[in-house]
Amino acid sequence: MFDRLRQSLALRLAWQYALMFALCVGVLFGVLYWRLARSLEQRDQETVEHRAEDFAAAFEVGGPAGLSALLHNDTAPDVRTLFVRLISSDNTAVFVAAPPDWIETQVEHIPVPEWGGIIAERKTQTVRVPQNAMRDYTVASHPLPNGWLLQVGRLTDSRPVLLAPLKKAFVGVGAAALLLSVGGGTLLAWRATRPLRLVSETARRILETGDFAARVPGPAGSGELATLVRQLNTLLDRNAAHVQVLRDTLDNLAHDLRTPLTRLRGTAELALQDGGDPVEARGALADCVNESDRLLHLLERLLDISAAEGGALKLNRSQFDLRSLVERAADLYREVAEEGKIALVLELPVAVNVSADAIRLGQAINNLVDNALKYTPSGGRVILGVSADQAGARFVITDNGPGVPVAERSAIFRRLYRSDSSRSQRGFGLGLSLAKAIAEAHGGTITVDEAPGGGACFTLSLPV
Amino acid sequence: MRVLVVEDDAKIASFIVQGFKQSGFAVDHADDGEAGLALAETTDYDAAVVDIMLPRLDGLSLVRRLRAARRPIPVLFLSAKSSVDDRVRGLEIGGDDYLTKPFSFSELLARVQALIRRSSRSPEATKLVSGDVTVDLVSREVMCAGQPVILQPREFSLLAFLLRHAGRPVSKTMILENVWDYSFDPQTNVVDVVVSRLRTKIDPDRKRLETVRGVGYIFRPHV
Repeated sequence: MFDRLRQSLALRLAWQYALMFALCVGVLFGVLYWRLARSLEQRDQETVEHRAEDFAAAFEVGGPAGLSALLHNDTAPDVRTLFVRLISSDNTAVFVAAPPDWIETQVEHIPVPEWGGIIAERKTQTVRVPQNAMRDYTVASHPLPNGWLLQVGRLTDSRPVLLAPLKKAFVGVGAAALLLSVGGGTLLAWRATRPLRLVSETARRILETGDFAARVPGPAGSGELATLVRQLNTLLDRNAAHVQVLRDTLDNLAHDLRTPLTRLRGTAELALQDGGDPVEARGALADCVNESDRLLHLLERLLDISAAEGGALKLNRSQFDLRSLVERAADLYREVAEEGKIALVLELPVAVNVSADAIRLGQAINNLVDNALKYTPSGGRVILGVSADQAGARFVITDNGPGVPVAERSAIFRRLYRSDSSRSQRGFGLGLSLAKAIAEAHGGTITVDEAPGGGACFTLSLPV
Repeated sequence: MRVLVVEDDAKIASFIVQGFKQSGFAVDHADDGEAGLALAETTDYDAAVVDIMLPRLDGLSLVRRLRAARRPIPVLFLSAKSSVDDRVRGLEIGGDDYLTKPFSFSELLARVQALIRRSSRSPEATKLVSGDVTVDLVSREVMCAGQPVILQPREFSLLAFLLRHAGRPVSKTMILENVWDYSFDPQTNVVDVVVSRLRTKIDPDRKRLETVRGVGYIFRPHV
C-alpha cells in the first residue's frame, strides 16, 4: 500500500506542487522581509542624518555652546531621545548628551568610526550598532570643518523585534496554505488521474484474462484524458474488428483451399501410381501446375481484398478522366463480348475527372465488366456509362441479363459467394468483393439495382 | 550466352541454374548482393536475374550501382511481392523486367531470351516468317499456308508476338503484358478467347499454335 502510494502519480504531482508552492512563498517572504527592514532602517537613518546636519550647522555658527543651546532650546519631542556627541580631532569626547533613559555604559559602547576615505566621499556616515536582542543604535557621524566629528544617534527597535509580527503571520498563513495545497492538490490530482488508473486497469485485465471486449469506462467531456480514453477505446474497437476480419478470412481461406488442395493431391497421387502411362503422368503434373496457379491467384486476390477492407491498401491517387478506365476495360473485354455475341455499348458523353488509384479502380471496373459479361446471355447488351454531379463521380454498368434477386443483393459482394446459378461459371466469386473493397478504400460505394426492363445495374460511386 | 543469377535461396537458385544450363547457357551464381555486384562488374554477361531481397546488398541497390557504373546488362528482377509499386520501382531503377515468385522456369527463360534479343539491338525485321506463316508488319498482311488471312488488330498483335517467340513457350502473363499492355494480371479469360479465335483463322488443323499445359502457349513452325 505504501509502495503504491509512493508510486501514485497523483500524490507525486501534489507533493511536487506543494514543494514549488512552499519555495515560492518562502522567496516572496524573504524579499518582503528584506525590503521592509531596509525601508524602516532608511527612515531611522534619514532622521538622524537630518538632525546631524542641523546640529552641524548650529555648531558652525556658535561652536559647542551654540550646539548645546540648540539642544536645550529645541522642544521637538524627538530631540530629547537623541544621543549627541562631539569628538575632537585627538579622539576625545568634548560633548556628550544622552537621552535620560540611557545609562552611561551604553554611551561608552558607541564606537567612533575609523576615519579615512569616508569623509571625502560622504558628508555623513551612518552605522547601526546592535545593542542587545531588542535594540539597535542608529548613529550618524558628521565630520565638522575644524576636523572634529559630530555624532547623532538614536535607539531603535532591532529588526527581529520590528518584523516579529510579520514573521508570525507568515508562519501561520504559510503553514495553513501548505497544508491546504498538499491536501487539495492530492485530492484534485487523484480525481484528475482517475481515467489513467482506469486505462491501466483495463489494459491489465486484457493482458491477464485475454478479455478483448474490455473497454475503459470513459469519462464524458472533451478534456485531454477523456479524449485519450475515447481514442484508446476506438483503437481497441478497431483492433477487435481487424482481428475479426482476419479470423473470418482465415476461416474462409482454410475452407476454400481445402477443395482445390484435395484435387491437387489426388491428381499428383494419380501421376505417381506405378505402371501409369508416362504421357498421362505428364498431363497430371501439368494439371497440378495449373491447379497451383489457380490457388496462387485465389490467395493473392483474397489478400488484396483483405488489404483493401482492412484499410491497408496503399492508394496511389492521381487525377484522370474516368472515361479512360472504362474505355480500357471495354477494349480488354472486346473479344470476350464478341465471342458471347454481347454488344458492349459505351455511353460516355462528358469527361468525369476523378482522383483515384488508376490501377485499383481499373481493377474494380474490369471486375464489374467481367461480371456483367458472365451473366448476360448471348445476344444481350451491356451498357457502360459515367456521370458526375455535386455528390461525386459514378460508373454505371447495366445489362439485360436475368438481374440479381433482391434476396441476393448484399450476398453477391461477400467473399467467395457464388449464387446457385453461377456455379457452372469459372471464377472464385471474388471479383465483386474486390470491386467493392476497392470502391470503399476510395471512400466510395458499389450498389446493385434492377435495370429498367430487367437485368442488373451496378453503380460504383466515388465521392468528390 | 552467359547469365548471372543472384539469388540467396539455394533451392530456387539451383532450379534456375540447372534450367539455364539445360537450355545451353553458361551460368554464374552469387548468393548475396555484394558477390553479385562484384561478378557483374568484372564479367560481361548477356543478362542477369536478380532477386530483390538479398543479404548484404539488396537487388535494387545492386542494380542502381550497376547502372551508376554504366553497365548496361539487361536485368530481370525476381520478387516475392507482387505489388504494383515494387514492379514500378524495380523498372524505374533500371531493371528491364520483373517476375513474381513463384514462377515457372519456362516463363523466366522466355523473358530472359526476350531481354537478350532486345538488347542485342538487331533492327527488327519488317516481316516475320515462321514455317508457312508470314506476317508483314508494315502492310499488316498475313499469309498462312499460301492463303491470305484477315485478322482483327488484337489477333494480329498476338500472332506477331507469338512469331517473335516462335519455338519457345510464352505465358498468358507475357501475352497480356505485350499484346494488351497490362502490367498486372486482370484475371480474365481474354487471352484464351483471342487465342482460340486466332486458332480458327491460322491453325484450323492445330499444328502450329499449341497449348503447353501449366505454362501457356507455343508457336511451332509448320511447313
